[in-house]
Amino acid sequence: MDSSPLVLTLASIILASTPLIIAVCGEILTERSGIVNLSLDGTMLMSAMTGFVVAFETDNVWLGFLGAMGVGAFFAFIVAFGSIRLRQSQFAIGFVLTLLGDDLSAFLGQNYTRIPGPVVQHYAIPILKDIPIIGPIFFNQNVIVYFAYILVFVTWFWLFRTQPGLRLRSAGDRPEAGFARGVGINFQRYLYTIIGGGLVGVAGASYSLNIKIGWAEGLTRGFGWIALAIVIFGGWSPIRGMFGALLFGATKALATYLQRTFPEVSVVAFNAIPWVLMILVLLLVGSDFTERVITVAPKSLRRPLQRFLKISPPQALGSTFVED
Amino acid sequence: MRGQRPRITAQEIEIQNQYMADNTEFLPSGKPKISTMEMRGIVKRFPGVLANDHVDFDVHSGEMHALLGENGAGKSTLMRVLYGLYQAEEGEILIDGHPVQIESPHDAIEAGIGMIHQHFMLVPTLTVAENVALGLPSSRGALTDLDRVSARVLELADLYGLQVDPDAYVWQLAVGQQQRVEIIKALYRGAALLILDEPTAVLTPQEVSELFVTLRQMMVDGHALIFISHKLQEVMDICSRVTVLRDGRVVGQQPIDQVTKGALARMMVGRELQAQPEKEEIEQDETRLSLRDVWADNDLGTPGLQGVSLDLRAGEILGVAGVSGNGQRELAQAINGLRTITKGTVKAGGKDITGASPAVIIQQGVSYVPEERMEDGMIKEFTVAENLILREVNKQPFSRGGFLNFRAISRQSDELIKEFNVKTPSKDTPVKNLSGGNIQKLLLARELSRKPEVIIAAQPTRGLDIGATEYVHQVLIDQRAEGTAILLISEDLDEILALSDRIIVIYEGEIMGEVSAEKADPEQLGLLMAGVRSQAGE
Repeated sequence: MDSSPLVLTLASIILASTPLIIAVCGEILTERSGIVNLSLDGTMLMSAMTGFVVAFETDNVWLGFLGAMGVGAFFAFIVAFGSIRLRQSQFAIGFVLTLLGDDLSAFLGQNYTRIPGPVVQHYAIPILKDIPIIGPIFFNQNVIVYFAYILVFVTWFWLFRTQPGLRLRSAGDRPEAGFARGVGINFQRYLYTIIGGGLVGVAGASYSLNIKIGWAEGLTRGFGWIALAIVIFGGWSPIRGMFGALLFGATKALATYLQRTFPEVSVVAFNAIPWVLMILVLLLVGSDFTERVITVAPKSLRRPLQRFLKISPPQALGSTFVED
Repeated sequence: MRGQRPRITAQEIEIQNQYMADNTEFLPSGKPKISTMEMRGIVKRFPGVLANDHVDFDVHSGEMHALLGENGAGKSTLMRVLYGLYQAEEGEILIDGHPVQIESPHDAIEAGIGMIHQHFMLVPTLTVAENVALGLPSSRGALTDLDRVSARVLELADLYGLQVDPDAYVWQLAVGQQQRVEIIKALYRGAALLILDEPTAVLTPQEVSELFVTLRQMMVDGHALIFISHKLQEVMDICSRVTVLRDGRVVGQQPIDQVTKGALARMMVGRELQAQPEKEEIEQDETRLSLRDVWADNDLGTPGLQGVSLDLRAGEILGVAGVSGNGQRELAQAINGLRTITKGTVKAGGKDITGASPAVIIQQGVSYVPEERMEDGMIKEFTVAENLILREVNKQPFSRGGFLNFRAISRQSDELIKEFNVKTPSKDTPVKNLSGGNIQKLLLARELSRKPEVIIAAQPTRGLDIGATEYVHQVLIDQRAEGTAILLISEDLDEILALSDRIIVIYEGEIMGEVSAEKADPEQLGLLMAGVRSQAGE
């Protein structure tokens, strides 16, 4: 049963969604503080490249992750510095960094393409791995996957159950109010942009060291944008964001399956499915379709449904805050 | 008392004195009192402006000291210095005789100073308890201790008679309730001195009296209170001393029983106030604008207007009174084609303009003076001249075949600047560099130069100083005399009462009732504004 095709597929979906989950958690922290780090796609490429190169040269995957984290944090710092200190558009800086990351990673990583390197070791959790069905799907993975599980919970808990979380949310929702209560708004924004960027770095490296092992130009291209879309789809909540990432992973798996079943149809068409689906889902969530679903639902379900489906971005997202 | 009528009852003063004599050093909240706070020789400059010029100000435990002045007189600056939001260039602050350094709101709070901002400093997506806990250390380290916070909030609510639900989300609360949360927040942090920045601006008359009950109680309990306002009557009603600021300087500081309203007004403005302009009798028969059962959604997607019907006749000012956020914005926008009307009809000059584009509505002679004059009325970065022709830019003589005629534009703006007495360095100055009063004059100049049939004036004097307010009122009255139909949407009840021929009250998107201006009294309007229909019935 452990190796039934369904179980294997589900396990692979989880594995494939891991980097997205990590990146989404990072970006949620950043956006909840009021900054949009639009550079995710470039940051992920840079950190995937850095992660692989460092791990290859030192023969240590964890140093690779550390290096990737540093690169992610540095890119994020540029966004924060540019928007807070230099008062430039976060979106412009993020976009330029995306383009920069794409080309720079290709240039710096050109001597390391398509060579084998160290990878994250598989690690099944004792006892838990023996639970039927659930065990092989969730607990027969590797440390990065487990890190993602914990990260989702920690991010959620940090945001909604802690005192620093209140400060963080005030910075993104109503900075004036937070500031009047002694919260250093710009400090919060630097902090969570950099932490968020570090996590995006980890996400990038977990492609090159875990999923699409090795480095090649454009290795993770597109995943950064998807992570940004999932943040919106997830309504800036890590738990919903995780579901979004899994949904995306599942459609990717579905596309692979369909590709095998209908070999006569072009590969490109199937590869496009997840993206198209993502657009559709975003449209649905953003339209008044959700409102209608809510009104159709039984009364007792309406409130929880509304809380789950209704999305509103942090109200000060993307705006600068000037401390006197 | 010097034989003058005391504004605070003798009994209250007695209780107060008793408290002052009583050497209790603690407030009911368990925090120490601030017996005196003094600001000496405060100087604060902004580029090109001396906002505070050697200002002395003080307040004692058990008194409410009013800080009175026009917009831009320096009241807010002074209080922002006290609360650590600004740093003074000169001067010192002493609490109980000891100099203190207040470099941030954090320092101010540590020193026992709390501030109730005019625009509430609450995070709408957090609950009341979370808002109170924001930025404070928690007894559980990094974890929130909302249970304990809620318990304390309820305790304070009980002590000071401020009913709130700690678990409610702030966005769900009415404005009056939000203000209570603000006060509780300050008390929670142990504020002994409370700065209230125009606390009554957004309340109904009834909510104002409730607030005053709380404030009197706090005074008696030994809090030191600073009351920033430009409403003279309120200052006379509740404060014990008054300091008047003008152009950044103190122009008067007196016990309240030694001044009159007129004297205060003179001090504030620096000259005699004009008498309220007289309105002449004119024919009011032709209906210029009529709404029938108009519905529209607000920004949250819920009905913001719920079946509004009204008729506006030529030569009348119809006042729409109501507490902020009860559908006023939606009403103005729906009429002007800026908000989708989901049901009902709007007619202007006999023509159905329901769902028409703003361009068509403008064509029908409807002028709009929007509430957000900087956002919806002007393009900040454009020059005075450019803004003045915004509405007619596609017409001759201002443009021909798609090219602008700068000579005509320049002539038009010179004329209007002169006629409406706009103070601007030149007609090529970007509008964002003008003062609020001059921007409003500019807006009126543009809207009235078209000789409109109907004017929708939304909050036309909000944020303006007394001089500019008088001017706007005079312009509206002149327009009325010329037979223009004017819908005056305002949250300032005094303004509504002074200008209107008829008054309707809007509450939660519904018209609660109509009264003629002669028969209107603030008490009755206040009840309607709070959603209580009069028993008299319609």
